[in-house]
Amino acid sequence: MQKRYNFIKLEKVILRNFSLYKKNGKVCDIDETINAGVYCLAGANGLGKTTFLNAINYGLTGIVLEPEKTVYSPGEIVKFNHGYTERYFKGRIVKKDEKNAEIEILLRVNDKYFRIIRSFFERDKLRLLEIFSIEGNTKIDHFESKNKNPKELNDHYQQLLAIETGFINFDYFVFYQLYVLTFDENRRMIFWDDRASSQALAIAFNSEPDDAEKILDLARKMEKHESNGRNARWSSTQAKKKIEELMPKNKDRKSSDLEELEREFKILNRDLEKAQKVYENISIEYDTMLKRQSSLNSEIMQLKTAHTKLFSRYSRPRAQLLENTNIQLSIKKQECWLCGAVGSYIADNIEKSVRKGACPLCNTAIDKNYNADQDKLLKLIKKNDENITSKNSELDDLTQEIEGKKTDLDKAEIELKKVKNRVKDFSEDNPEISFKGTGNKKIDALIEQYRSQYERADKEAKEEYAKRDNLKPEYERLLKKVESSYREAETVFVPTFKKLAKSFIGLDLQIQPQRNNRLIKLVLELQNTARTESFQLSESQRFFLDIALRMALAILLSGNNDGATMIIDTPEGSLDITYENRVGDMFAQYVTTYHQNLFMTANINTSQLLLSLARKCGRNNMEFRRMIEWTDPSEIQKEGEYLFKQVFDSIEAALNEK
Amino acid sequence: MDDQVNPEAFFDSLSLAHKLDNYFDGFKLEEIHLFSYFSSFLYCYSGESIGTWPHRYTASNGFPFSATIYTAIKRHIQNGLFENKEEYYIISGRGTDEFNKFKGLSNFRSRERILNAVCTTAILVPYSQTVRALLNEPDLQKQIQLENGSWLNQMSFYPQFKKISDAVGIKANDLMIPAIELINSLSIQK
Repeated sequence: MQKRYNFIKLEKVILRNFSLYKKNGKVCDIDETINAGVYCLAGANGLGKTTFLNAINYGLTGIVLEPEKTVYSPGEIVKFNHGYTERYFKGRIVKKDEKNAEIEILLRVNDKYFRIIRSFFERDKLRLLEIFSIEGNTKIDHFESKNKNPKELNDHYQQLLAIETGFINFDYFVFYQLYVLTFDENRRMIFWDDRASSQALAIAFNSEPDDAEKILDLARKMEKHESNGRNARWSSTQAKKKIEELMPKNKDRKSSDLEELEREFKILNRDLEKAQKVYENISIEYDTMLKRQSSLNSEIMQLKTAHTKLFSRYSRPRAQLLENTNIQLSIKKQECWLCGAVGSYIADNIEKSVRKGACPLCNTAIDKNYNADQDKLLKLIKKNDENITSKNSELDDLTQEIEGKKTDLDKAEIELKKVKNRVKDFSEDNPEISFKGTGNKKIDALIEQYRSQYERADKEAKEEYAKRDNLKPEYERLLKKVESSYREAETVFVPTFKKLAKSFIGLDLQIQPQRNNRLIKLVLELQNTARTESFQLSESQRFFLDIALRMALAILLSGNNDGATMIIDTPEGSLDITYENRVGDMFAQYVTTYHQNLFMTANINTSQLLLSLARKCGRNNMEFRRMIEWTDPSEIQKEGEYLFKQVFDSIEAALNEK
Repeated sequence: MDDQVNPEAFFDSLSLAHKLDNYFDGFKLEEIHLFSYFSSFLYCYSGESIGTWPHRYTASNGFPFSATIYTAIKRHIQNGLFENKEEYYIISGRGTDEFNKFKGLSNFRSRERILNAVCTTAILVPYSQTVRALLNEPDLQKQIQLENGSWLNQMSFYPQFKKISDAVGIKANDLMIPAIELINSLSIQK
């Protein structure tokens, strides 16, 4: 069963002592009631629209994302963004207001209300946490905040919100809120970022919430082991090089009183050489067989290509009579020159008759060479077929031989390891025999040091790679589960996305999940183009398809009647008028057809997007707020005030149309 | 440039047409695609990997559709191997000659065994029931509804194997037994 989440519904946002918003020179407290459907805040550049959205996300999560494109995994978001968050509001709030500046949010999940107050300079604390429900006219409290300090309040808020929304922990709520449900001014596109998309899909398409955590955890661990393995491999290579540089200075030094032990050591070394040689020889044979296998595969492939060409030639339609003027005229006019019959079927019937290779009137073979040519081709096809069969049979035999050789190779490797261990044990028991040294104690000591460094690093590299490989089967199993969950969910997800995307781009897009190395991503295809060719989209088209994908995901995952709220910062960007209009349609569909919510900001320009959205949504589904009510316009903005008024008026009129 | 004709598509379409025409006095082009799709199931069951089956299918107008088979059929029509009888097609004498020329090629002999089993099934089980059952295949149904142009997921055959193996044994040398069993199992599927 597809896991669903209870997304939050914003009810009220209050900003106190937020110095950026000043009206008539005085800091103005913002108190906004947020309606269901579209809430749109419109205003000129530089008035603080983006800051308002960031403040809301900060209030909800305690985080403002640093303006860079990287999408972090749930567990990493706080670690990589808390520094930026702590700096973000400095300057936007003047020093004297810092202490009292705060955001209050009232949100609803299911039937519970969460009322929180957070200072802009204490990201991991809450000044107030209330959780309650309303039954009739009675307020029923669900949380006792007495004797709890601000840090504890924040911890409780995170735990209880995660439980209520259904996310495995608060980090996952933050991931969805900041990356999936928010499209901010940095235009992070999660579905064009392999890692981000893989994470979003792993979280979205899972029947068991723990699995997403396991996938991300395994991916992190595998990356870590791989990186450790690479580092250790590099260290071991460096140590080996150093040993090689020092070794030419080696000189044999014999010890006369240990001849017996030395003789034994020589025998052991001979055994080692022998085992090494056997292993190498089998390894060479094995390698040669693999090469032959590869070459056979390539030959078969070429023969098959030739086979296809021969069949294509063999079945190519031949009809000399098609060049006859009377016939060409008959086909063109759709009128038979012989009997004078007229009709659209004439062309079809004439073509069919003349392609048979015989005159339709007297049945004489037209192209005498035709049959001879076909016979020649048939002979070539038969010969080619025999070749393919013979090569395939050789390949089958070789594949069996390779299997046998692989067993021999494994055996030889085991034997070699055994002898190596014997030599190693002997060397450790009799160090004076095995290590002959260079005669120079300092160099010997250095070589020993590098050797032990090499062995340590080599062992570590092998261990790290082995650890990574041990995690692979479980990772693979979990990814398969995601793919299978996606298959289940696609009956809802795919049509929703296609509908939204078509309303914007006007074309039928197809969407497929695709495995790429360790990641799963969604790939878009345009109908009727070759599947292997990637479809080129402009950057702004990609922005909105990314939004459409997030919307489809939000619709799929919404577990309660309130739907999800997408936060979108000034979406119009570089779109031309037609596309603005279409984006308006797409947003309106998200809200009216799928009953979701949109919290957006907009610049005041041609505003086709807003006009189209307002027309489709009407006053019942859209609240249009002018930022001018919160802030003093600049001199330039004052000059253009009549222009703003015209646009505002037309949007208000559009809202009344429905 | 001419479309390339895939040898297996050339032969499969010719062979299926030959059999369907012999048994039922004519065939529709979409039935060639449908029975080719059915063949890929038996190919899997005979121990081959689905990855080496030469055709892939999408859902089109309620039937499986393979572009390689489509190209081959187009050639057969142009060359007069298939003849259009308005409502249906028949294989011409020349088409039968061509089929006889090619069926002995070693690469096609193993295919012929599968194609034969598939078409014979349609005699043993009423033809309309066979077609209905095949169109009832779950992934085909799903893709018809989705209209997303996705490849039909031939991997979805594998779960059917267990049911059929339980019914007819692990390896059946006579491919008709699993073929009929598949039709029966798809017939009762909701």
